[in-house]
Amino acid sequence: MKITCRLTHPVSIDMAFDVHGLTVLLGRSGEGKTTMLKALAGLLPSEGTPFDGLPPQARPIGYVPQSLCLFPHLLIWQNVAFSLDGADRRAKAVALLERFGLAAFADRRPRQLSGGQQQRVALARALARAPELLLLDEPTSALDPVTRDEVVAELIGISRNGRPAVLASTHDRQMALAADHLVILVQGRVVQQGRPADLMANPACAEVAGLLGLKQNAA
Amino acid sequence: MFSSAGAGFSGSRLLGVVAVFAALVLAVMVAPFATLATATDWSNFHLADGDWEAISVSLGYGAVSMGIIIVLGTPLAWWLARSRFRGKWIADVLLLLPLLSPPLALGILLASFYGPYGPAGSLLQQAGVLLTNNPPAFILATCYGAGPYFVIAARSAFEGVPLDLEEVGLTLGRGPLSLIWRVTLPLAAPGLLMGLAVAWVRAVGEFGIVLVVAYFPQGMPVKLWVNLQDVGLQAVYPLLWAFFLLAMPLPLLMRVFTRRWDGPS
Repeated sequence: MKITCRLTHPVSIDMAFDVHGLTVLLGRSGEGKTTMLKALAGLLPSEGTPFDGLPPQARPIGYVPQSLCLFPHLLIWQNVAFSLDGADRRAKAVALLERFGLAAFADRRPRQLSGGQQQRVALARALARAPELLLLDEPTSALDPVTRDEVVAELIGISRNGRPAVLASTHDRQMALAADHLVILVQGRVVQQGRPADLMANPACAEVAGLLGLKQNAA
Repeated sequence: MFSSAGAGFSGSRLLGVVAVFAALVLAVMVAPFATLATATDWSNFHLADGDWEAISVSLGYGAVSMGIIIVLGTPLAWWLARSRFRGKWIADVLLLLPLLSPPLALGILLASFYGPYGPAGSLLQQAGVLLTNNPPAFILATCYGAGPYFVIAARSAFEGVPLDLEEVGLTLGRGPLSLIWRVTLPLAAPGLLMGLAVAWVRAVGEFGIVLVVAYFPQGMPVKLWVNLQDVGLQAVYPLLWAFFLLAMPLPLLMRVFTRRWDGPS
């Protein structure tokens, strides 16, 4: 999937890159990663492909913000079923929760779950619409290392058959190296993209090397 | 409450002194209410002529006012909470105007505007609507007296609902109206109910505005005044009991409800 995105407010961004399987946007804080994901979700006015002109509710995307934004007044299954209609919405939601090993928590409230469990619920909720593109903002930032590895493994599993494609922003190097495709942002621009192994072998500049943890070698 | 602010502070000598002071202030505030029990002539406890009518006027038309305040005030409060535009402070000031005006002054302004010789009143009169000393005038007066309290509380309640939740709801395929119903209103509900409870007490207890605009039909506050003038203090207490027993349960229940509400985590 080819992504292009241009916007001028709240920051100026003009990016073009590809998304294959699990794609990670790697960049330091303040590079515009969150802004770009929100723009792709239709939450900020922007131009670009593939969803230009569509309101957020009509875009075939799933969006998981960094704060997860689970609905605190709803039960876990109701959170997951938020986008679903029909009499079987609970059954569909529980089936999705089962996929993440959370079916036993269906009738609890979000605050009763751990950070990792909440992250999975947010993923299940975003997947319930069967989106073409799953947008994740810093999905591992609030997780301990073990839970982080589990979530990354789940993201790889989700993106394995190509639908949905997964685009995750992060400044987590470990997650970036586990991706199928890596897009490096420096000063709000895409400076290099490709397979993580290729970027590791041939970083385009010192900033890329630094983000990949190769700064000492590159210098 | 203080103990949750910090264990070190909760044990301080200052806190103990202030606690005694606070208890004294509370006692002084509540003392007149306690007097009601002792001052009432229980052996001769009965409502005066016309008290039941006053009760039904206050409760019935007060309920109608609440309906109007909810219908008109909720969208206004939501708009104030969610919109951003230059000069928004003017809207804030306009909202505060009726709140900060002395009730009697507001009553005079309403009579000047909606009365038979006022700009709105003369037009309404041509349409056959009179807003003086009748139920519509009573409802108008209580709406002006109570409405701003609800709008300010509702605005604050809406502002307390994180915008992020509504944004995520959009990305889940729900439209703005659906999100207001499914996310915003449920999360703002405790604040809205508390605002409604305060507005209810204001509407049922409204005296100054009603006195000018709608002396008739007489609600509880005006009837209390009439009883006091015509009969004396002993004729007031039974209706005063009725007022507290009928007007107060709603806000007290709302207070309990909102304290038990866990809120967003």
